[in-house]
Amino acid sequence: MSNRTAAMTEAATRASVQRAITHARDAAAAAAALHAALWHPQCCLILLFISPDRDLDALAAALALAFPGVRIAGCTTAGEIGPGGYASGAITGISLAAPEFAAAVGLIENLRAADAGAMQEVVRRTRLAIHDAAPWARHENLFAMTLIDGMCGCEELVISAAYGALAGIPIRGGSAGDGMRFDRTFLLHEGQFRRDCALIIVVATSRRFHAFKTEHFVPGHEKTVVTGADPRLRLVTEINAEPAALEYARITGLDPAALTPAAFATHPMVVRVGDQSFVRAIRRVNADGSLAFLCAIDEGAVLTVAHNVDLVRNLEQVFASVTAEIGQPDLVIAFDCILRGLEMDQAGSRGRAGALADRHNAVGFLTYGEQYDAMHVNHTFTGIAIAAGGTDA
Amino acid sequence: MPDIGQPPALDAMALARENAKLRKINASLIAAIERGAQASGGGFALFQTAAALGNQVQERTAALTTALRELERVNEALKGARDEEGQARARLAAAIETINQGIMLCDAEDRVVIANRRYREVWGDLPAEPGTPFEEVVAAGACNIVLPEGQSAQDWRAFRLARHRSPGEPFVVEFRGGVWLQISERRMEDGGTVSLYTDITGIKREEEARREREVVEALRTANESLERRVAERTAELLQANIEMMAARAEAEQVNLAKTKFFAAANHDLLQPLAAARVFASALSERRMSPPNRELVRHALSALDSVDDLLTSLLDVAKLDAGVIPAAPASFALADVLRPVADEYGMIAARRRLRLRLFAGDVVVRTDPKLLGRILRNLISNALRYTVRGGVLIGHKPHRDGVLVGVWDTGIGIAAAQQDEIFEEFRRLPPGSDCTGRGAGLGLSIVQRISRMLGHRLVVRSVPGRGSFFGIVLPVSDEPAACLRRPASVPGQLHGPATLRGRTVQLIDDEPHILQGMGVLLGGWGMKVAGARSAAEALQSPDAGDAPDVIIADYHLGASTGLEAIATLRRRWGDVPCVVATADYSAEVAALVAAAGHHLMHKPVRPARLRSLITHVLTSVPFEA
Repeated sequence: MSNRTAAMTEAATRASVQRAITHARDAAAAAAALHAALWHPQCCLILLFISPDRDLDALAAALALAFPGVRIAGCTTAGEIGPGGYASGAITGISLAAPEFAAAVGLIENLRAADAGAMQEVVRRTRLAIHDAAPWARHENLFAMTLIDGMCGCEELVISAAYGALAGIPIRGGSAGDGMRFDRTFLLHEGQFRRDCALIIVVATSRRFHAFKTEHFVPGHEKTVVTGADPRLRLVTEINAEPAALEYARITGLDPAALTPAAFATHPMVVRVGDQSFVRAIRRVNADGSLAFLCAIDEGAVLTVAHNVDLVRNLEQVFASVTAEIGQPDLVIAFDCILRGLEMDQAGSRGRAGALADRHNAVGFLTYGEQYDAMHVNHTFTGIAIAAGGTDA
Repeated sequence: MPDIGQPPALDAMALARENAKLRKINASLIAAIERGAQASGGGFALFQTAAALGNQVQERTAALTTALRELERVNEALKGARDEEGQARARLAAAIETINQGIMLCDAEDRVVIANRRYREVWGDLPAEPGTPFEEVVAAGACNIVLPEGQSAQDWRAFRLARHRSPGEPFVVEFRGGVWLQISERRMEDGGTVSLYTDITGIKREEEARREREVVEALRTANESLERRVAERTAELLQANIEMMAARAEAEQVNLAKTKFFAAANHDLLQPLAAARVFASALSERRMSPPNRELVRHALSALDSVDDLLTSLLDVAKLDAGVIPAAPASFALADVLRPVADEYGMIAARRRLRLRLFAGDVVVRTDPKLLGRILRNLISNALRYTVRGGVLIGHKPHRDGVLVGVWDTGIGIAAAQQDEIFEEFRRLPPGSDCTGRGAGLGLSIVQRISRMLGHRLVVRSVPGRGSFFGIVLPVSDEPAACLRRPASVPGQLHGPATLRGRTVQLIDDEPHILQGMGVLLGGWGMKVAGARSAAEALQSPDAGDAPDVIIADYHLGASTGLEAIATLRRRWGDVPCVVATADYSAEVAALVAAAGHHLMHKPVRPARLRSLITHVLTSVPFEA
């Protein structure tokens, strides 16, 4: 049998959308497992969500060997989502294949030094590349994803540039994670793990898809004002002219000595813009009583403590609306906030939420922040749901 | 927030503190609001803007949906109630003005229902009044757009109308001035058409820039491949050139081999013959009984015939082989005619024929030596076949130059035979009075040489009256070159007495030639010393005195006669020298001339040799 015939036969038996998870520690074994689950002769994109505890260099080398010439993008995580639900210390991934899919990936380097113009140039080139790769694609066939260094502190700039240059096609994405360490996060691009960069992934598909976002909190009534902040470091020193951590503890009724991520997860602070509320998630309490945030914050911001509603029920509603929109999804690329993960652990609902996600074919990761069109937010569950084959857009 | 029920003092302190905090909160809020108004960068500002924008997008989407619903409703109203048309139109107009793209609505009869302000901004002053047939809109619009290549305005209108009647994929139009529009159309339920005009100039420019880059890249690739092809082609040509040069070298090698063959034939065939003639000639000079003298005379005559035949045969062969090079020059015709005529003066006189020469002042262009050979062949033929009267060597004007040749009063040739006479070994039966027989090769040689030189051969003959044989030569405008007078001078001018007692040094590596020449020259009264080399000559006991003349063979084994002469002259000074050679090449002639010596071609004819030696001894060398 000729190679071509073999490839065609393989293409006929392999699906355009494939999902994978591996717990293998060894790089070669992990690459082999991913290859077995994800390889497709006409693969146009592989996305991987990788636990940061792996030997990343060995993994990059093993992947290059296993998938010669295949475009692979990915990032490290604070937890993975894949077949089986939520995972930890695993690698999950998806592959998309032509002719139903086409993809283009742009890399924005030196994030901290880059300006909006340079970022937009990368996004524009990626956008032009997708037109080359999929001349058939119309505006409604396109969606974009961002993967951003989770410790760069400038996701707002990236997402704002991307949104400007992508002219209104839906964007979803996540900030790469480093477990609970908040130290170093990595992005995988062209066989290398890098930092201080962002990936813009534009996907064209002939299938129907639905971009969604959900949160599960309701804002309370007590307003506070940020009276001291270092926006560059996303640091809040004072709230209501009191040391930030103490004032947060007082308002939420938490023990000032027990301000842990789990506590932040269950007592989010939100800001209101227009008639919508957005969580400003706290990363940690510093020794000087200041609060480090996971997203932009500034002096004069009015923060409201919000109360969480039932996360799992909220998730059920999201998947129900997705299914109502496009039917049972073939794939949900999911970006879920690390704080939601912590909340699930506290509430003991990770298993139920995971089963729900798995039932809807979700693959993704727990993030240090979610991107949603022009915004970088926290405490949300966002993503792209892709309809099953044969349901052309 | 402060608790109620604190002691008054504390209460006052708390109030003061609370007051300070509130002032600070107040200041922060005011700063934030002022910063917000500046719309300065910063992550939080970006976030706020994005969030606000998101809200606006939602609001706009809602507005658009409302507008479109309104549109539908208005359309319904239009159909239903004509009296409400004005009002409906106003509402419709209001609705579509909210859309930030050019929009035009046509009814089922393809007449304009309405167009919004954005549309008018895009299309300028085009007719868009309600009721205008869409066809007119298109006709007017055709002036504003850049027509796709190969399309006339007519084609464009047809295309545009067709698209409008059955809308499909959006298409793109370029305006004069570089603005690009994407036109999307959709058919409405009532049979009308809604057209959306979106400005995509920005996207288009990016695309063009990208295409330009691609074209540049393609050009570069094409250029590279062109260069590569040129290089390949050059290499092929180079290879072909090398092969050609090899082929030429091979051809030259073959030519050289031929030349060598003829030189060898000359040497090996003609040299022994020349020696025999020298011996016979020397013998004839001796005193002997009349019957013996008659025998010697016949022997000499037979040898002459063999010599003629062999020389002619070699000439024919050489001409056929193409090894005789032609060296055309411009020269005075008389310079060739006169010496040739002189050569045959004695023979004609012996046969009691008049030999006349007419040599006028005309410059021709051809090879002078080969012309001489043509003329010699023609003259000896004429003399052979003429019994009475005479032979005229001369020329006369001709349409293509000058006709040069030989007129005789001989037996003539019948017209039917005139083609045959050029065949080899073809001889006319000589008349009873004719004496001497040629080899029958003369005219073949004449024909071959004139063909080689590109000269036309002319034959005119009347049996019993005489013949003319000649060739047409081109007249030259160039100045005539000074031709070397031939070394041979008619022998009868010099008496035998001039040679008696003179000394001659012979150099030849062939002992029998030395011996024969010694007998011949001794017969003329000369004192002969022979040697096979210059060294041998100088070792001789008589070597002390310089001879009157040196005759050296050109080919002396490994060295040349020129080298031998040079050695001898170092001892004897400027003794006049004759170089004998069977090599007829121009190179050897040039070498001998350059050394200032006389050239004598082999085979040696005793008469010619004698006159040459006489000439050398009685005159100074006539040229350097």
